[in-house]
Amino acid sequence: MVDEVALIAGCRANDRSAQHMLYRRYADAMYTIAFRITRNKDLASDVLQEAFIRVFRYISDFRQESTLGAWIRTIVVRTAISLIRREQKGFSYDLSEVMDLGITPGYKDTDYLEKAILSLPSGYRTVFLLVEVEGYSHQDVSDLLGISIGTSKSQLFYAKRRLRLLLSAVF
Amino acid sequence: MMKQEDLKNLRDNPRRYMPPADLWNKIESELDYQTYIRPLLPELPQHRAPEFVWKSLSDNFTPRPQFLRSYPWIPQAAAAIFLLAFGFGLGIWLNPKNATSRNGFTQGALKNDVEALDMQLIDEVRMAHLRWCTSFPGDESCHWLEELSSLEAAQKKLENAVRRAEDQAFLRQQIRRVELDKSRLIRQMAQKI
Repeated sequence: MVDEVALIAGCRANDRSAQHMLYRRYADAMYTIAFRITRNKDLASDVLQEAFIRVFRYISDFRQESTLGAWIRTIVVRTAISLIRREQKGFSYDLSEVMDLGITPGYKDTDYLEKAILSLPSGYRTVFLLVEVEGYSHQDVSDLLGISIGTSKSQLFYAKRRLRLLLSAVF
Repeated sequence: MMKQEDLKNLRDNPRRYMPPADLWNKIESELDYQTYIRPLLPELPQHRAPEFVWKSLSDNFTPRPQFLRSYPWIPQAAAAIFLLAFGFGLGIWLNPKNATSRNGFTQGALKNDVEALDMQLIDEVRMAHLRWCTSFPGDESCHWLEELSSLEAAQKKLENAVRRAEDQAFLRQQIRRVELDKSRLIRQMAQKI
């Protein structure tokens, strides 16, 4: 397995096989993040494509202060947020958007949990995914989404409460 | 003035502050979350990225010309020579008349020196290949057109640098490399169509 430093050097030299290897290494995880934020497979594919174009274009600027995975993930999150803002012409952080994904208890727990997360309104869902699943701090979320730290915290609280309600039949 | 009676009252019946009524609900909610939901988060299912994404990604990406991949120092070297020449006040060499009188070098002579490519043939092959790529836009050979344009641009820059620089032999060698790469591309395009 090629180590990360060699992979970065290869991508910086515009070596297509290194780019492909890097893509293969991170594509599924990044697609998963994109899908959970956008809740749409076509949009998630667009996000993945746009994000990796940026990754390859700006990999010379990557200073290795964080891991490569964390750097790519931030690009994917930013791209996903800007894409759904573009698509929806306004990214709401309220409760008005509720989507019925046909959640019925009985699935394997994690499948059911994922459906419950996807059914959250976009504002709740994004903050929940970034903080609880991806491990970002409220400060990071505030910077990424352009909301206050207080709003990020309250969105997370409501997301957790709603999840608990949705999953109370299972747990 | 506070009386002694009041102080005694305060001591015996200190003021009590009540927590918000829904605080326990919040605590309970967080406890349930920590106990039942959070442990499952690392096991959430992962989705597979669709295969077509890499295909469109690589189509979108313009590769660097082959010779630059093999010799990444060429652009830096050419730029350094140019800057040095400029820095030492060799702008005088920009004048082709002076250049000819000093070292017998002209742009025309350079053209004769490098491998001559039949420009008409190149254009014909380029147009035919362009038509091919219009019919088969996903074909991997379609990036050759961009590669050819990059080579032509690089050649032009090197030729300009030659006019300004002392170490012409080195730069001519690079131009020859570009010409050879161009020939290779044209041959590949011709075979393809």
